[in-house]
Amino acid sequence: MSMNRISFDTETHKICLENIAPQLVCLTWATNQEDNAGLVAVADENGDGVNSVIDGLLDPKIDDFQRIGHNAAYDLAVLLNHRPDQVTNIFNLLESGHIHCTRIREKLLNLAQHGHLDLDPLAKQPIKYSLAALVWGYFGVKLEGKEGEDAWRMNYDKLTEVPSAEWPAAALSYAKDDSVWTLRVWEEQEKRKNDFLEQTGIDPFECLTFRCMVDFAFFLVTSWGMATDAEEKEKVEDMLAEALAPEKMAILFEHNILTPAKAPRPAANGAKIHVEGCKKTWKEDGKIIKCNCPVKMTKGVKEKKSTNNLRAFVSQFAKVHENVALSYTSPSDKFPEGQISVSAEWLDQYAHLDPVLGALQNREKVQKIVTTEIPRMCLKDECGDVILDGNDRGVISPIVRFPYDSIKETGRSSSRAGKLYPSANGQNIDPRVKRCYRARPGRVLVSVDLSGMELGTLAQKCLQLFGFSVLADKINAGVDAHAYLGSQIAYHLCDEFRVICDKNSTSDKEAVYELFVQMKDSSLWEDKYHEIYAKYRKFAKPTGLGFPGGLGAQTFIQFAAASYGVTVNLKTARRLKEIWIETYPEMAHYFKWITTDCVDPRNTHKEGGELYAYKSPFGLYRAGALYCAACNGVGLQSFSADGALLGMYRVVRASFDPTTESCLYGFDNYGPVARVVNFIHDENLVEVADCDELHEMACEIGNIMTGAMRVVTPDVISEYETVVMRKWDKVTKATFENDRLIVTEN
Amino acid sequence: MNNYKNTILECDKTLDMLRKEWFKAEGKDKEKWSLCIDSFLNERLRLMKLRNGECQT
Repeated sequence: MSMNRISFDTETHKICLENIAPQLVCLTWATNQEDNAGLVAVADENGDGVNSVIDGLLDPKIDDFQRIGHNAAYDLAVLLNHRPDQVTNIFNLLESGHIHCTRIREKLLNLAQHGHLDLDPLAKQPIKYSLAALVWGYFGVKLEGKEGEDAWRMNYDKLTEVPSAEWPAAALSYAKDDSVWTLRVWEEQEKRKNDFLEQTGIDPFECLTFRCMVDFAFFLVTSWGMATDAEEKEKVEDMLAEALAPEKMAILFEHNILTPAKAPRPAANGAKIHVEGCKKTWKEDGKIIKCNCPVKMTKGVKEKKSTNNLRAFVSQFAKVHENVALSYTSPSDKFPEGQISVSAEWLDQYAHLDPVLGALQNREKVQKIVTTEIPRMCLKDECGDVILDGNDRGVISPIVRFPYDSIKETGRSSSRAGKLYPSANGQNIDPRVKRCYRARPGRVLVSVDLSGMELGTLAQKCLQLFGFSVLADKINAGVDAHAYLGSQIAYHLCDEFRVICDKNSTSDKEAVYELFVQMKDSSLWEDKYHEIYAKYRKFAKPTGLGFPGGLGAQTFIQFAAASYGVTVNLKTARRLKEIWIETYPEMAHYFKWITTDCVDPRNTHKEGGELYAYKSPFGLYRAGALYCAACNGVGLQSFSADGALLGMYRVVRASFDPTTESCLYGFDNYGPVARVVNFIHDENLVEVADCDELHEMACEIGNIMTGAMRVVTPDVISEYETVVMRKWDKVTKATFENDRLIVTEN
Repeated sequence: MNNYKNTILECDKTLDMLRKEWFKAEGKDKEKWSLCIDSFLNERLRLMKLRNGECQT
């Protein structure tokens, strides 16, 4: 029999720049016992009313109640701000599965049933996850008061000091309604879950507790945000303006893809703007005199991209290059077959093949930073326009936040800028813009990166499935997996290296690797051998990480060029795959297992092909995946996401909750000694006090993260790399003093 | 359970041999070895299922 249920919701002040989990105004609840919905305002009984309800709601001893929220992470953060003493209870209740979120539940149901989170495959409509959208979907009821300026939702701050007994009826019912509907949605979702479980034996909510924990941790990361550096922003803007200078665009002008900007110039016919009463021309001493009125100027023209010329160029490009797949816009009445579309993704695939496309790709990227990314980081006025300084540049917000979507199809997270507050996509910041972010005063940034995370999880998966994995053996033996594969590639593809191996009578894989690694040392080997080492190790990266994702030779060429700048032809790509399988024979078994054991029994491809379904280590069930997505998900993305997200959650908890007894918890004159500020798949970026214990804190973060990875990869060693810096940048080498980590000044 | 484990190990040895041949081969020969490997992989998967089934009972 299922637990009793109580849904809860908060109404707050408006979300503002300083606080995205703002001041609490009231707390509402609804229970599954008949007609039991309530509201308590902060103004009731001098605050004692709301406090006693919070005490009850978050009391871990009351363990026969399931607490339910819609976007519970937000409400929990609001409650945490109101009652910081409840921090341990909140984390404990989340971990014991006593707080669940209907938004996360909906996503898990969609993932299990058809595998799409953003677009309904049948209705071809975007899927929305707001409470109003779910109520509409399950009950066909439109929630009142969700839109418009006078909606109570946006105006609860006016009631902060008013006891609830004196609230307008509409304000009371709007607030209570959300809790009531959240509970009803939960019941419907429960029916959906039970049906699915009965039909398939698979529980879509197996990972629900974990995902709710992660969602809350992400919200805390977003709430803290990252400090910015106005001076660096100006430097970046100057650098970007230089990158967009007309002389850098010559190749695009030449091909008429861009038309240069034209400055305003005097009208060709000499027209002037005459002041009132001007005689224009007159005679004086026999000469014709012209007036001094200002000359009329033509309008300036901005630099313009010609989409038609670009399409013509791309169409020609596709004729010259075999295997280039054009992408098209959706068909319309005017263009029944659609038009050629040149998206950023398309350019990522093919720009390396042509200098014109390369220049265009670079321009588009820089343009996006200038027109979208930087304005989103800036302060805005009430109309939503960027506030400008004296030089007409946007004023950067002192804190920029990274909003996260804690669950995507792959089980990984994503980030995207929003409109509510200055924000950015923290997981995809252009390297040129990174330096705009820095640590707050008295703080440094500690970046902890799990080394070779996805290779480790792939090895673990193969061990679990087949009982052996050469890749696992190599990782556990401390062998550099990329160099090992690189040595095998060099043995088969590089004549010079093969000659040396033959001279030394070296053909055994391990001996080939030993010889290859020696070449890394340029003091022992000539430069050309050092280059062989560097070149073939670089070859190994796309080979070792691309092929496990089920890539064919053709797609591999694009992947290698776009992700690692490695250019190979079709023949070499095929050979690389062969060498890779020869090096790691378990991979042949892996693909076989995907095609035989992961076929999705309930979803098929719209063109008739197979789709695949799989479970992550913590039980995230994903249906409707394409073959490559399944190969990528099973061993790499979904598998590693579970471990890495658990690590992120644990670091967040350690920095918030004193009962963890971690050195990451504490306060000094500047505030909390550690706060996670960003999470990028295998990297945690943590703002830490610049103090004597910096080394210990960095190690603690690393140990927590590798400890979490060990939960999912118990048989494969995981390690971390850490760097301390002041400004966020691609610093690759850590600095040590007396064996202790110190700041790498940048 | 050990019976299956040993058979799987034998299967792996054969697969190793087959993979070496596949690696050396070219053109149609390569396809021939691919088919051979494929059928051995099927066999390995079948044995694994039997092994796991035995484990459960």
